[in-house]
Amino acid sequence: MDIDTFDDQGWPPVTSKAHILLIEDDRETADEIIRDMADRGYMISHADNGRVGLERAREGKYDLKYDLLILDRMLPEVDGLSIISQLRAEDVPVPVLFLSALNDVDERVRGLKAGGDDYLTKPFVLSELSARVEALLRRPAEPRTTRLRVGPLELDLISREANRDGRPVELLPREFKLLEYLMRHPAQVITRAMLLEDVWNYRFSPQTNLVDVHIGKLRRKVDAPGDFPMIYNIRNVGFVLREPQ
Amino acid sequence: MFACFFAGSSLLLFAFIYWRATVFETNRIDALITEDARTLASEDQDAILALINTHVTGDFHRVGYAALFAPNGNRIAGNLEGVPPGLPIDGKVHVVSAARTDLPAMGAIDVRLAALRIANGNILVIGRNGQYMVVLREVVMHALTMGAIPAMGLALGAGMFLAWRTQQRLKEVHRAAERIMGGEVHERLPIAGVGPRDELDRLSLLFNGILDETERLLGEIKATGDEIAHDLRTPLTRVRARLERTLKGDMGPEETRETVGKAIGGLDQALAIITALLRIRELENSKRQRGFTTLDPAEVILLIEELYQPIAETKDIAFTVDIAPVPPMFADRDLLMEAVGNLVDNALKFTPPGGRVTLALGPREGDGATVIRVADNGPGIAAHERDLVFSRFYRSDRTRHLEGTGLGLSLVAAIARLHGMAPRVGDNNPGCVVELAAEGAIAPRAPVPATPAV
Repeated sequence: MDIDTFDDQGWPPVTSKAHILLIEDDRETADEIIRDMADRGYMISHADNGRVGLERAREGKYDLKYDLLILDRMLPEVDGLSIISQLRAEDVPVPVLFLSALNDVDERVRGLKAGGDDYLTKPFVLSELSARVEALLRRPAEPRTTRLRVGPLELDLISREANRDGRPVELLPREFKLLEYLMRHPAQVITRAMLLEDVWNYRFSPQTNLVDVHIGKLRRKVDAPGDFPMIYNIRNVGFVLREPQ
Repeated sequence: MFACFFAGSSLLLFAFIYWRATVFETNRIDALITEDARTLASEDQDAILALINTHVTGDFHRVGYAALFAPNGNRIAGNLEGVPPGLPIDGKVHVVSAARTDLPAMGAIDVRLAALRIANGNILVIGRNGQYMVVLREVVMHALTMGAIPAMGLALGAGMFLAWRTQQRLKEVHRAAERIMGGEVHERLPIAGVGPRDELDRLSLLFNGILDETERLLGEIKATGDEIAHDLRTPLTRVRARLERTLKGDMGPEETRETVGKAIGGLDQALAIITALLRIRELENSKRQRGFTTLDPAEVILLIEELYQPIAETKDIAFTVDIAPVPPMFADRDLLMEAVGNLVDNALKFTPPGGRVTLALGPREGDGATVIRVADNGPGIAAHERDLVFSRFYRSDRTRHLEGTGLGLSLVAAIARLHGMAPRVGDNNPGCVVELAAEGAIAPRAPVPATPAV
């Protein structure tokens, strides 16, 4: 791979200090998530049953509203779906990430319909969770904008043209979509699964290094010889696009 | 049991025939007697006497009666002593007791007689005895002994034989069933063999079919269990070895980092196996078509082409896509994409650089069924392995060293079945061709919602 590679830890999320509420009844899963999130600099609170979780989510902590909910699908007393429906009915706009042992497509659709913003199936890798948490915390990034800009890179969403330092970058339609996705999440770790889901609408982990090949092609167009690289590989996790340093 | 019914019914039949014959014969005789009496009565006395004589003398069977009596009851001619008491003189047939003069030994027996008064006041009596009834009974009895009794015997024998045989067969079935329940899963219920299948055979065949399927599933579960254990143990053993080496602590930070990274990779593979297994189970249990919409499969094929073309280029494989128009399909877009993607992914993985992979969509020659076909010129799949590749975890010995969950094609098969499509593997000379044919294309079970669910 000709992409510069960094380790996950090298990229502290810019959203650290965000306040997350984890509602999860499994002690060990909860501990792992809490430790990982704390390591990344997040403030994280935990509720181990649905009723307490719902109350906390409503009230916040010391009158401080939570920035994000990580919500297990199956919970004692009040289950995850009911919590999210309840919160949405009360106009609590907090972004919600569902965790579920159920990989059923129906379950996913149900979770998202009830008001969830993302859905992650257990077992998952912690870096996948943190990448998605960061993506949710950064939203919304001005969804109605017509131009995206990251450092020297510019994307015109209307004329569908890209240029770097004024030099046009020729892109195929799907490459354009891929770059748009990366530019909407600048300096943020994006996993392969996120790219497959959001750019290709493809829910399947290929055995081939499919995503890396697409990213490689894009990078050769974006990072011309002599340019400072903008697209990096994050080992075992995914990719990041950021301003050249 | 059957024989008893048969015997009873044939007896009933004979009784009925006998009864009807008797009634018919009696009516016929009575009509004859009445007719004779009326004819005789219309003649004059001399002619009557002459006719009575011929009647009596010409009656060799001694069954006929004819006599003429004066009004006071004295006999003028004929073979009756007197007007039998209790016989009304009305020209109708009555059964009365009478003896004949020309055969005294016979005594008085029941006779069918008719009496009527002729023009000069004399009384004419004419009739026949019940001898014909005896004859009739004899005929019927004869028929019964000659026909019915052997028939009944035959029926009884056949019935007993059939009952015995059925019982024997039921016993065999019972014994076989007990052996099967005792764990001998290879055992099957006995079939009588040649000839047309009777109900018992058909039932046994049905049960044997169920047993075949159960045995196949049992075998699959057993094999799956073994394979899961094996396929999980391989990466986990490696992970363990790597972590143990790291624990010893004599590596530099860079090496430690790399070893732990590889260990995580091994765990990811184990996780991928478990995730794929759960997904297959979910698909196989799924009867749901909630995500189904009517779509053009060409869209899915084009997306897959776009997704996989770059990787084919980097592997120096010629990846061509060939799309012929087909009717819209009722399918789950995500699942269909996953199935086709899996096939292409596999083909690209196993085809060596410089090879060729084709993805084709089109109607099949002949029945026009929509077929999605992925062909490559890679190592191919040996004929005896072709049926196995769709079962869980099957991996050709030649590919066992390659990474993968070994579950891709099982996943494809599960998705195909959910769509009513038949998965098939063939030879591409050289290489492998996998086909998904929408043979029993499924129709929407419920009206498709006006707004697509996607």
